[in-house]
Amino acid sequence: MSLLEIDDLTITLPTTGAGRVLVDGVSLTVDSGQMVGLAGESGSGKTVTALTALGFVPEGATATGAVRLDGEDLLTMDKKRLREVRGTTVAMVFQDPMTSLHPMLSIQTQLTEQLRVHRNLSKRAARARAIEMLELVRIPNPARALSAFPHHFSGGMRQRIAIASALACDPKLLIADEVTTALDVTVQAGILGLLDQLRRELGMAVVFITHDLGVMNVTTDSLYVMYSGRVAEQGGTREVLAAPRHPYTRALIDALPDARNLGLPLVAIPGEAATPERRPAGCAFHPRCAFAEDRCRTEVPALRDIGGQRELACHVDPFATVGAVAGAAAAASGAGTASRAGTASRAGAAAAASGANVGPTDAELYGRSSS
Amino acid sequence: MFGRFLLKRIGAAVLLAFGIVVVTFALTALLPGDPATAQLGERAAADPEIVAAYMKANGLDQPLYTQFFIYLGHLVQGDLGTSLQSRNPVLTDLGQFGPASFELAVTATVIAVIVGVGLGIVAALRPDRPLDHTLRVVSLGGVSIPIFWLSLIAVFIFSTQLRIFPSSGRLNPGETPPPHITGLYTLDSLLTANWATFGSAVGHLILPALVLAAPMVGLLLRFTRSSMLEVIGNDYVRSANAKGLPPGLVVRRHTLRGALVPVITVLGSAFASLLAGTVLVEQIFAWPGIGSYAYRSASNLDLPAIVGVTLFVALVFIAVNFLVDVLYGLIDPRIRTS
Repeated sequence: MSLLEIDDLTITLPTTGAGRVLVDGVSLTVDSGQMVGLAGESGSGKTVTALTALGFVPEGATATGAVRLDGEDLLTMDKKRLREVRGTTVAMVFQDPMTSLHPMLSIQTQLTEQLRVHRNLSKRAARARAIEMLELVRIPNPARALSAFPHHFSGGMRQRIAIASALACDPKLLIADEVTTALDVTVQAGILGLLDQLRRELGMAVVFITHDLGVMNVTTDSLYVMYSGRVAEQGGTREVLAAPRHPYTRALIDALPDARNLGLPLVAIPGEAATPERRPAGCAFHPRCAFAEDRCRTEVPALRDIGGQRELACHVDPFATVGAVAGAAAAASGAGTASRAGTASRAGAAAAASGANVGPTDAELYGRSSS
Repeated sequence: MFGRFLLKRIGAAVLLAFGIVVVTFALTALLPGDPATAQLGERAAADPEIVAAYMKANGLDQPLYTQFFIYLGHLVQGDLGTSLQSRNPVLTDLGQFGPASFELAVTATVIAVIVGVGLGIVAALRPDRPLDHTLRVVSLGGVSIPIFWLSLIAVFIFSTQLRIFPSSGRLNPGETPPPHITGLYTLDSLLTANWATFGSAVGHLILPALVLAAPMVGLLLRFTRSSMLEVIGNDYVRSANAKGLPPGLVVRRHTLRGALVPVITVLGSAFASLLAGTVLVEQIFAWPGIGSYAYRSASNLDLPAIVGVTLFVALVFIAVNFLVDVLYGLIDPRIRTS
């Protein structure tokens, strides 16, 4: 049994007419200690999917399927049990630490209240635990920090405090929703490293949500790429990023800015992202896809096993023969790719050079030393 | 940090008080009415000698700035002059009528805060449900129904028809007031364990206090609701829920705290309208307070009394706003440090 098993989750907002589908048949598993990435543009349903792991379903929406955390289905759980699970088994860190911490409550209150509620700790014991947590996330002078307020800290420090607050009751699973997006680039790496280290030290699983695939590669073991409420592609992070099979994944990688390509225009994905209100029939990505065929426009591609513990939802699968085509395909995908060799084509070239096994080059590219 | 914040606020309050002293003095000096005529009566005022003697006796023949400094000197010693009407020192009058008004205003404010903020929270927790719609009408009614009309209706229903509450005065005629300790009949009777008087004092207090609280309830309800709704959508409330805190704690500690600053702002200004409302309500309920005193002084052009009342009300208002500022600081640490 995996720690988190999301099984055929569909979330629909009732509106006049057909209703809006926010999440459409998503399945996802997270094992203990594993770090799983959820990638996609805004509106792809990645956050909505991840929030169900805390039993949060958008106001007024109906959810079908199952979200089992430690074997218990959160979708059918009663409110009292749900509150017990939140904070203790699963915790969350939000995107913007400027708003996710309460501006008028002291750090001490925000770090100890869950300990007082869930663990029944005395004020002193909770305080001691809070100091311990602040040390864990490397806040200098933790005792002093406790009596301070969020506005006394920088964005990165606040995010560390938010992480400390989430981890206070030793959750088995942490949902990290775009936790680096609101931070300076220089601070991002620190937070990412911290998360990676914490999950190793504490043996905790992490669901890491981001739209930035570059961030993803640094830390996650496996990766789900979502588009318009569905999983487009899924597999080991290194494998997926080195040799993406879905045209959307490829396009996302191409859209990554890269310091080595200064001056060259970024490759935007043509067209507009599908939204729950306006989702194209068939494969939702087909209007933006350079490889779309007739059946892509009518038939929703099923997620199928493509070997190597990977799954893909694409009728065409234009990048099936990874190494040989990677570079050329990158040039062909999307508009204006020829003008700029993106990260993907570098990864592709690396893959081509070393065959299917992407070794040291990959590590050098993404700064990851071992899997 | 908080000490410096307080010091700053106190400094601002003192400056404001001085400004009000200047303005009230200037206003009375510029007032078109002639106190000599008003006080001496037509026949005596026709005699220039009597008028001159009167002016001299009251320092009215001095240049304006001298008058101001004389006035300021008296003020510092607590001398607000003698009421031309009651022939008592104005300070004595204020000391007599002040507590009655204070009792009424504080009771009204407490009722308004409990009812208004409470209903605002209830409305915000279940927005756009029948209860919320009902409360919206209640709020609109509280704000828009004229207070004198509400007073008359309340008297008609609760005094004349149902005979639950008396409609005038602080006690029944013939009842002896409790020994003067604070001047608040409810508190004084309570302190001296005088239960019958306490019951009567509370009974007399309820109707005018309710009427006075009505507009404030409407205002507070509306602001609490909208402020709560705004905060409920905030990330930090979501954080609190994600921590698995009980809903009561989330509302009290997280949502309400975030929503309170605009509510307190409104409370400060609502108190101003409440002070204005007391003049009407005290008249209607024959409440022997500052409002009634102000009304009498104004209709008799009793300048020292008018200035005294104005100063008194202004100082109360400054004090309330000072309290509001301090509350801000207590609630929001960001205000303390900036």
